[in-house]
Amino acid sequence: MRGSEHLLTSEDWLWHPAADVLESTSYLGTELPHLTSVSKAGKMFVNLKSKIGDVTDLKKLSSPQALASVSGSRQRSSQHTPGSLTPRSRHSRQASTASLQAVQELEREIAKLRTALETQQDAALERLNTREQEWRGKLQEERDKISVMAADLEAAGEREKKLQEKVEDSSIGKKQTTDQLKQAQGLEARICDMQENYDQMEGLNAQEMAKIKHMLLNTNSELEQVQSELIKKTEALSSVESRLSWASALEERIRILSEEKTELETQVAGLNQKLNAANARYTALEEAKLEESQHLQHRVITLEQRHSQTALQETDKVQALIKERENMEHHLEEARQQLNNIKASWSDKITALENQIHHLNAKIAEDQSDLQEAEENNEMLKSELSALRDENSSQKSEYLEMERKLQAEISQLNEDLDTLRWQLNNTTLEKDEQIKSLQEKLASEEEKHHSCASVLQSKLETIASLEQNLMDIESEVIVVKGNFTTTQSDLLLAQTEKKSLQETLQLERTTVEALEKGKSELQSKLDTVSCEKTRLSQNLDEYAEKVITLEMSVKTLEEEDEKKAAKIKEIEAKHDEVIHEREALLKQLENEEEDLVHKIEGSDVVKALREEVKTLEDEVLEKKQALKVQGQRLADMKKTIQRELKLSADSTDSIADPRIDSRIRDSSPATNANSSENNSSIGPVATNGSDNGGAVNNTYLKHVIIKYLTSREYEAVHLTRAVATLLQMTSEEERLLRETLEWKMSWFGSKPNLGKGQNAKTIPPSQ
Amino acid sequence: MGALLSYFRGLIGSREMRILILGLDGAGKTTILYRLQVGEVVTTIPTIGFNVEQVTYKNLRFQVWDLGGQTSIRPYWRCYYSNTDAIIYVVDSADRDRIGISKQELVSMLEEDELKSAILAVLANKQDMEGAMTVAEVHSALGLDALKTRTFQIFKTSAIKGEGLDQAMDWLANALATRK
Repeated sequence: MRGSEHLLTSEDWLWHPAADVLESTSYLGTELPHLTSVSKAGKMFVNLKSKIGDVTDLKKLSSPQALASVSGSRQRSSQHTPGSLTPRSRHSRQASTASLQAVQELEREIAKLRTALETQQDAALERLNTREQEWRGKLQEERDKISVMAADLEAAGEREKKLQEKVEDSSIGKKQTTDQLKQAQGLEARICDMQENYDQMEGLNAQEMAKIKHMLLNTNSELEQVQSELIKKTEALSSVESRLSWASALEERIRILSEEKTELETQVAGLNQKLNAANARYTALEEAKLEESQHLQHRVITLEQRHSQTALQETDKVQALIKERENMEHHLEEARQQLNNIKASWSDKITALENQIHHLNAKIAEDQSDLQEAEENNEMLKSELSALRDENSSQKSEYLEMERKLQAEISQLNEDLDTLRWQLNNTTLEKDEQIKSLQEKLASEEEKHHSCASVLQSKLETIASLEQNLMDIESEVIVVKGNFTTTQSDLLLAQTEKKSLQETLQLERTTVEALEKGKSELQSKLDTVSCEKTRLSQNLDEYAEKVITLEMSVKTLEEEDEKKAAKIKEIEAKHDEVIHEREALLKQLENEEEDLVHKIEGSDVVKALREEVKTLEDEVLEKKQALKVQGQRLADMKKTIQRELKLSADSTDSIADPRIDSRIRDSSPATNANSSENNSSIGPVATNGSDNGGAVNNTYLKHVIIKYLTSREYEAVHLTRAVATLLQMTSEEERLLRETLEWKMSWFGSKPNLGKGQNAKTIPPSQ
Repeated sequence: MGALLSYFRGLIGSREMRILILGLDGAGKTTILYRLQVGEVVTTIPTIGFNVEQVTYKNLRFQVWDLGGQTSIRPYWRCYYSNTDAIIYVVDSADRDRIGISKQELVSMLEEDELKSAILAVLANKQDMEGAMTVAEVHSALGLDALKTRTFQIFKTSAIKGEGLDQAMDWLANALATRK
């Protein structure tokens, strides 16, 4: 593109001078210049073309200098060409003279066209040049721009690369991040799981915590209870401990006392031991002294004897000896005195010790007694205290009771006093009245006396008696007075009685009150009862009404009953009628039945049946007879068989009868008796016999055989039959057995023939 | 030796009476035998075989044979029939089920020729048990009415308590004495 543009520009640049040259030539020549100009133009085109090719070669140079050189060369060529071309045109003119005119015309036209072309070309070239220049400027600008762009592009490429690198880096990072993301997601899932677990665990923990709290609360409450109990117990303990400490103090005291006692006892024991030792020493010393004294006395005696013997001869010696003896006796006496002193001192000591012991014992005894006394006193005091308390309480109660009694008595006494005063007044009044009456009596008696005196006067004899009477009366008065006193005492007694009566009255009053209370209660009960009674009476009235109504209903019912009875009578009458009808019908039935029986009896079928029955009965009778005959035959057979059996025992001929033998062998003797026909009837016995079979039969056989072998001949005879049947012997063998037994039993007689050799039934007797 | 003894026995003339005790198993035959011999109740086992004892009653000597009454050995009774003077037939009065079998055995036994002259004493035993048949019941159940020619008697007994045995033996001794 660039190249083409460059070429065009160069052509335009080149074309311009060429046109100028053409114009100059045209102006110079006429025809020739035409031709030459045409050829020139052709040549020019060729040249131009070649030049364009050169230019194209020269394009590479692309510099104005080169262009200038080209233009210079062109100018030179153009200057050169007219000279070189001239010979050629001359040649063509000579060859073609006929067509010269047409060619000239054409040349002219071509020239015209050329000029037009040239003008157009110039215009175009000019335009092109201008445009080229513009384009070049633009190109350069664009090139600059392109370069700038290229630089930009490179920068951009670098940036791109960088960006790509960054992208790669980022992609790597992305991958890493995605991996991390995945990991993070996994971790998240785990975290979720963990959280769930954690939640569950938390819930469980909370529940457990609640439980534990509950437990804690319970335990706290229990702890509190236990603590309270503990406190109580500790209090109790402290009290017990205080008691214990008191007790321990007492114990310590007791210990101290006992220790003192033991010390004292040990002292006493030591003193006793000392005493014993001292006594022993004392006794030993005494004995030694006694021995010494005896010894010395003996010596003295011997010496005296010696002295007596040798007195005459050795008086000096005797004297010396006597002196010695006296000295010895003196010594002895001294020793005795010393001993006595020692004894005394010892005895003093002993007595002192004994005194001490006694004193200590007494002290101990006193201490013990004091202790006991103190304890007893304590107990006594306690008991007394308790007794006193009891007494106090009892006395208090008694006191209270007494107070009550006293108050009661005081009140009673007050009341009694009042009553007594009243009674006293009464009694005084009564006494006054009595006195009055007595005085009246007296007056009347005095009157009588007067009258009597008058009578006395008249009847002096009676006076005395009257006087005596008077005296008597006076005495009576005295007696009356005494009586009065007695009555007074009686009164007192009566008063006391009254008191007692009043007491009883009071009691009665209380009882009356109680009775009144009871009465009131009873009245209340009565009221209730009366209420009940009224109720009951009301009920009774109701019941009476009901009864009346019931009676009414009963009456109605009775009426109905009567009606019913009438109906029943009617029904009974009907029933009787019906019964009569029934009886009549029954009679009819009987008649009809009789007729029927007659008819039936008369019928042929019945007759035939009866005949059949008769025939069957006859047959049955015949069969029964046959059965009887057979039974008789059976019995006969049995008898004959038994006889045969008996006979077979005796005779050898019966072996010939195999039937019986076989039967004997078959099972049992019971079957022997049965004929073959009747086996089924008595069969059970035989089958039973064979049912239990071998075991029982075997034991039975063993038993019988043992008995047979061990018993004497006399008893064995009875068993031969049993043995023979059990062992299923032939009659011959059985006979042999029996005969041998009889031979053994008999005193005389011959041994039965038991055979010889292999057939021998017995062991030959050893000789 | 045995021969000698028996010979002397024969000379003395007090011949032993041979008595069989028969009856179904469990009727009490062995108990009666030893009650007669020892006068006591002894414990017994089922007799498979027989027991023979000498019994003296009122100066009469009996050789009493107690034969086992089990079903399988009942057929062997007939082996012992010969020379039998008397039969004591024991019935379990409480066993109503087997009284028929007992009757059958009695009838078949009495049909034997060897026992034609034997005296029969039927003992309705176990009268001490509740629900036991009376003598009359046993009599009719055994069909003793049918016996015409035989000298026989029925007794109610209780071998355990020892009741009725003396009467039976008295009658038996008298019957045997009068028969001779």
